[in-house]
Amino acid sequence: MKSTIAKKLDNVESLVGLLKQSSNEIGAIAVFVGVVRGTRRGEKVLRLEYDAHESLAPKVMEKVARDAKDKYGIIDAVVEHRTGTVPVGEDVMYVLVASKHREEGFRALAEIVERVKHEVPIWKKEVTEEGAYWVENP
Amino acid sequence: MLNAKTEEYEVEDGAVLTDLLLRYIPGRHREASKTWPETIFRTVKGEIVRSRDGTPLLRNYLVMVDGKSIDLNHRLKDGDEVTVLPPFGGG
Repeated sequence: MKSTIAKKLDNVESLVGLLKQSSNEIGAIAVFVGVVRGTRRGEKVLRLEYDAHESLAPKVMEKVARDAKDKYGIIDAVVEHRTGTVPVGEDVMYVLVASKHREEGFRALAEIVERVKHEVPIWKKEVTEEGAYWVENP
Repeated sequence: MLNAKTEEYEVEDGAVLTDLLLRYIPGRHREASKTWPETIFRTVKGEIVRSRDGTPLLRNYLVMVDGKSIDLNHRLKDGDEVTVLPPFGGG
């Protein structure tokens, strides 16, 4: 399990390679890429600014990944989230799940993404043409 | 919101987490105290919503003591590290 909060994300291909090395039982790797969207409620978004509780956030991410491993029997997972200023169109979060079969991989991936968005102490400020707002996930 | 990432408080014996959130913190941050209660607690027409035992109900804020989510009736003791985290927005 690899959980990282950093100003820069690793390369997705290198993360896939890392997961492949963890076991020869792996038959599927599911990947989620979170991208900064250029509009919100009709407003043009200029950029997002992320802040995180640097000591707590990686621990919660690690726990979320471990919970998914216990629940779905996946082999391994990687969770990475970016901090600082992220322009529109750039990647902000990667979640990768390695499993024997795709079914448990898809389920685990969806659950990890949702839990990271709602349980990990990360905050984002949306900077639009109209102003800047702290955004709470629904 | 409080323009303070870390601060120390000396509280009276028997004070609980709710006292810190509703008395001590607003007492130190007079300007922010105007909006602080309704920012972290659920309110209806300006009144804080409470459970049957009188404990105020948090909005989506997370309050922890020593890194663990905890009941707001927790009695504070020397060295307790209280963390108040606003709603999350990752992803």
